[in-house]
Amino acid sequence: MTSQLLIPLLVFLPILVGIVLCLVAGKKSSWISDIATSFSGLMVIAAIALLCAVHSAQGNSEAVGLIQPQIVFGPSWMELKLPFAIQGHSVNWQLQLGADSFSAMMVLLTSLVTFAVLMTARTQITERRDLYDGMILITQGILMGIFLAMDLLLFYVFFEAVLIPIILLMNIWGDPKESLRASRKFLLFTLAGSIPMIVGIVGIVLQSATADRASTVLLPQLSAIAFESQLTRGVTENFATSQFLILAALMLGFGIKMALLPLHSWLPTTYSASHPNTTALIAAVVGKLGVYGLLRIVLPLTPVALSVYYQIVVGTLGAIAIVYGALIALRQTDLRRLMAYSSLSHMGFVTLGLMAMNREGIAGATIQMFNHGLITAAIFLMIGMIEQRRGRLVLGNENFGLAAAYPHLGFLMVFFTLAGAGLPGLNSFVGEILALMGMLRVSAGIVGIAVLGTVLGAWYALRVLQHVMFSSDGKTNKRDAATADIGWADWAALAPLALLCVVIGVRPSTFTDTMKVDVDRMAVSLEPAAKALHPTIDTLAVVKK
Amino acid sequence: MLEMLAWAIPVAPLVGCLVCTILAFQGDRDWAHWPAVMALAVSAICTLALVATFSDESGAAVVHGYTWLDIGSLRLDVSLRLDSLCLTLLSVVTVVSCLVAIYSREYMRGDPGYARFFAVFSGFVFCMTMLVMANNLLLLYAFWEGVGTCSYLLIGYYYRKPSAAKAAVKAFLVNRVADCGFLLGILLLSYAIGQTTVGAGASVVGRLDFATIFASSQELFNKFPELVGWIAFLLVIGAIGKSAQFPLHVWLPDAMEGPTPVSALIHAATMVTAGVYLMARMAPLMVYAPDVLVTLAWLGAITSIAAAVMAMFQYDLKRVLAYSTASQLGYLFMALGCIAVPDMMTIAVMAAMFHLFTHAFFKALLFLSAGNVMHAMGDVIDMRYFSGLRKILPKTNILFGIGAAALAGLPPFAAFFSKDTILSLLSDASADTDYGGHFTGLMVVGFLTAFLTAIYTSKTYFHTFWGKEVTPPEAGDHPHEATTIMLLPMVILAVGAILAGLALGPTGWILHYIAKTPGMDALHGEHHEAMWVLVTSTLVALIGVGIGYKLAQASTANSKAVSNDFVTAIGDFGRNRLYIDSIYQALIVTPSEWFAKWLGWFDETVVDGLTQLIGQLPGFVGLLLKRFQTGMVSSYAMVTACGIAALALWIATQ
Repeated sequence: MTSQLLIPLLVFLPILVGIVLCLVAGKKSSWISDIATSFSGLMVIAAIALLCAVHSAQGNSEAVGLIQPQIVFGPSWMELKLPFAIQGHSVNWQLQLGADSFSAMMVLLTSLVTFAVLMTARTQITERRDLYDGMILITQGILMGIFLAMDLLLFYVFFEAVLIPIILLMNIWGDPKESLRASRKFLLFTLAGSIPMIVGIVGIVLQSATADRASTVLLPQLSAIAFESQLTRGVTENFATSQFLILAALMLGFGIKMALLPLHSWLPTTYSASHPNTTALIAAVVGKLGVYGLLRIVLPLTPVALSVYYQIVVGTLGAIAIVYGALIALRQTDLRRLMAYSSLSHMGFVTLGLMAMNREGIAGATIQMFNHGLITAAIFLMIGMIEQRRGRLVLGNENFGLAAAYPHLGFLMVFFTLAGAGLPGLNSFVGEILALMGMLRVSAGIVGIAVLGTVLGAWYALRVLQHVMFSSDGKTNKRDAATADIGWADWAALAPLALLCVVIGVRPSTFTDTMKVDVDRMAVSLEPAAKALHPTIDTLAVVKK
Repeated sequence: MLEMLAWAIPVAPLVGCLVCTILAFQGDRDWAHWPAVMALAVSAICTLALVATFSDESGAAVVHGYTWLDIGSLRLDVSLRLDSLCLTLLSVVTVVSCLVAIYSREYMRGDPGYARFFAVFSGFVFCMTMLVMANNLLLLYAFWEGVGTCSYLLIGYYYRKPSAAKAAVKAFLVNRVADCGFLLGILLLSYAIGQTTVGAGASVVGRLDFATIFASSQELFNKFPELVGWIAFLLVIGAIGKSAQFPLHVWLPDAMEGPTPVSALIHAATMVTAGVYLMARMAPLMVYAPDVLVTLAWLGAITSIAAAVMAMFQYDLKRVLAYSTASQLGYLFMALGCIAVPDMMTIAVMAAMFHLFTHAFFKALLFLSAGNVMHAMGDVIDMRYFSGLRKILPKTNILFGIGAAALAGLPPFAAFFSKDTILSLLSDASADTDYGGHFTGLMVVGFLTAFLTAIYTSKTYFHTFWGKEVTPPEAGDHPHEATTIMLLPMVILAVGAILAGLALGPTGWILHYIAKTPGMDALHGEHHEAMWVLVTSTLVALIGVGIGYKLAQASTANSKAVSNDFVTAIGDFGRNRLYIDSIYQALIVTPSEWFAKWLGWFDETVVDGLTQLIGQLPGFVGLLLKRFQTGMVSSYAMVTACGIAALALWIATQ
């Protein structure tokens, strides 16, 4: 019972606290950031509690559909009555928040990254920090809302609402020269994605209604309906065609958000125009919204059409993105842009895993979303620390040797870079290997392209270390260059992220055991769908009647 | 008891690594070596205890740890496998690493980053022991990458030096290229095993456990003969990358940028043998891909002779040893190639492991001696600047001499026996009907390499320690012999370099020990080495040493005298690493970088431009509808509303 209350606590309280902080901001009072940081620390604890609750609640409820939140928060007041009818039924939509393991993982990621961002903001953000803290908390609450939404309506509302604080964060604290243009581009791209997305969502809702069944927006019900029709109508081209337009609209919407090639060009500008401290949150969490949408909506609701029309195409695009992003990152001269392309490359593994449409793939994609969030947040925060000390570095033939000047920063940078390069024993390896194993059961060719990413990914990452961290004694002629290494607040921000990287790498079953039930549930419809349309695919799941 | 001992071997260095890491953050304490040395000693003692006590009727024991991953069709446990193959390598790894750690206590003393050195050093031993004991191919891969990373961190130990940072990156990337193939091989193997009857039930059992792989390899071969060939080939790519074989040998000479103890341990005795171990471990699967094995043997042969040629012309003492390492590892792969011949698997693996064992001792000894020279010469390692050091370094002279004699293959030093085991193995294999021709060729290369090895080894030794005494100015006025703490571990290694061959080879001890490994063929009668091989190789070694002595005399007496055009040309060719590095730079690295640059331009102008252009389209449409519009947001809202309405109507009518 109490665990249900965690959900509104995680969603609405940060928004509330954030708004209050924004209102009282500007009083030059130092305690505001203390409140913000300690509050976000509490949110981390709440997120851990949620994950534990989800883990212990597994198997308690009989599954209705492919999505079955272990913890549900849907009081009767969260009901929406609209004055029109669909298929003769009056519209009476119950809205719902809830958490399954996928949500809980992303909530944990969001809370950890927010905590880290607020911690480092204490030294990174010098102007209007109170307002900044408030905005970050609002963003956190909205992001939690996206991850905990269990119906299409709330999902869409939160999904769009998050743009407002992000645009403000980009513009107020971003690079004054770039941020206006970049935020305009970001907004245009995202809006271009929202329109098809809402169209797709409306389509799904309309299709859910039949003569003897009222329409619904609840994801568990919708996924049950989708699975049922997959069983009755069979996995056929005919069935797939009826979902084609919906899926196309959704794929366009989520494709832009997940920066699927070639719809990715908003990503480098957005990541490089924002303050690195903000980019940490954008890259770690906002950059995951597209793939999360794919996992939450597209995979369970339209698996048949997905396997017919998109599985191979998008899978190939994911593999190409891995190589493409890594190659471009190789020759970037700006650390922020380099990391943006690196994100593009790493997120390719997530796409690959999802498009495998089997258990290894989905587990790998989910773990990899989480991993990439941890690593990319840490690296962007450290880019902020580097810029604070030495300004924006131009990577070329110059060697900066920062590890000699700032050994602690150097240690963490090496750690997170190696984690990002997929070093076994650290987290990325787990996600990558699972995604690759999943994809191999679909297409060896796609995997053949994707594994090249492991070489190229190490190449650009080590190039950064070689020129930025090593190769010189770290002395500089700049008079204003700060000499102090990173302090306790920076350590407090990065250490939890590093710790989780190790935990996932050393014992991934800590998290995969929690995910197992949800992954198996999804696979029940996905694997047969993929198998029926691509008979050569090796799949192990059996359809349960 | 068995479990305790088995887990203590990797866990002790891990603890040492963690303690030293903490110490590294606290500033470099002078006693920071203690945790590492103690941990490695514990590890070595436990290993020796296991070797002494381990006996299992099935030949292998599995020690369970915890479930690493259990999802979908995949379940992977972290567990250790003990059998005689792994214990052989394990005893080399732990004993040599413990000795080298003791040596490093003095060698690295006072260095900034003293604790960091020992932290990564123990970390390496942890990864290496886990690699050797892994019960699962994916776990092996994980620590395979782990040792690579430790090697990266240690090559780049002097990270302020641009050359060291660059060499570290090169080593890591070349290894990654190989590992990329290895990983693909593992993935394909896990896929293929899932299709067999043994593996199909393996949603519970790890598909990639060695026992499962060995049990299903016959069926795999029957079902997918071609795929098994590909998997074997990809595993070979992984092996030659880690073991620095042609064409992926380029990282090893550069790896000498690391501290000398690291070169001794990682880049001579242990990590580079991981590729050999992988092939030996996977022998029950590899045997189904004889063509791949013959290719592997030829790659080993090319490496062994090419590296010997390159070693001949290096000025840098450590690089001579580095090329020599690549060359000796080539022998091991030639031996492993004989797995292709029916019924020779056990003997082939034994020969490879035997030479690996002896090589670890004498090569570590040679590197540590080179470290003494380097210390005395004020970090100068270029042989053009010193010679005749026998008076300055009398003890090192003897120790280096023992190592050199072993490397040159002089009887009764260790490598004489182990190398001859390989050569006679090749001579036996040349009687095979299918691949006999190949092995005859390989045997000739083997003898030729032995000859070259004797030449460059004796040339290096006599040049460095005999002849006119020359020291570089960096050495100062009174260059001194190494301390006792440095010499003590070297003496132990020297004893190994003298006795290991005689004790293990002719007694047949190692053969019977290795044969106990599950998956190996049963032995067919006693194995005897051909007399003519022993005699020939002794002659070859003696003549080679004589020529090397003459060359050394010539080069110290008058370095200008020997330079005629032909020798200079070959010398340049050898010194420039046969231009292989330049070819890679020109054909792979630079084009990739250009392509990357072009792709960056393409992304920023073409892709972005096109998407922006599409973004403008609503604007053009908007121009037409200008007077209906008040602002952007409302226009989007209107478009949205119209779109939804239209679609809703369309879907409702479906």
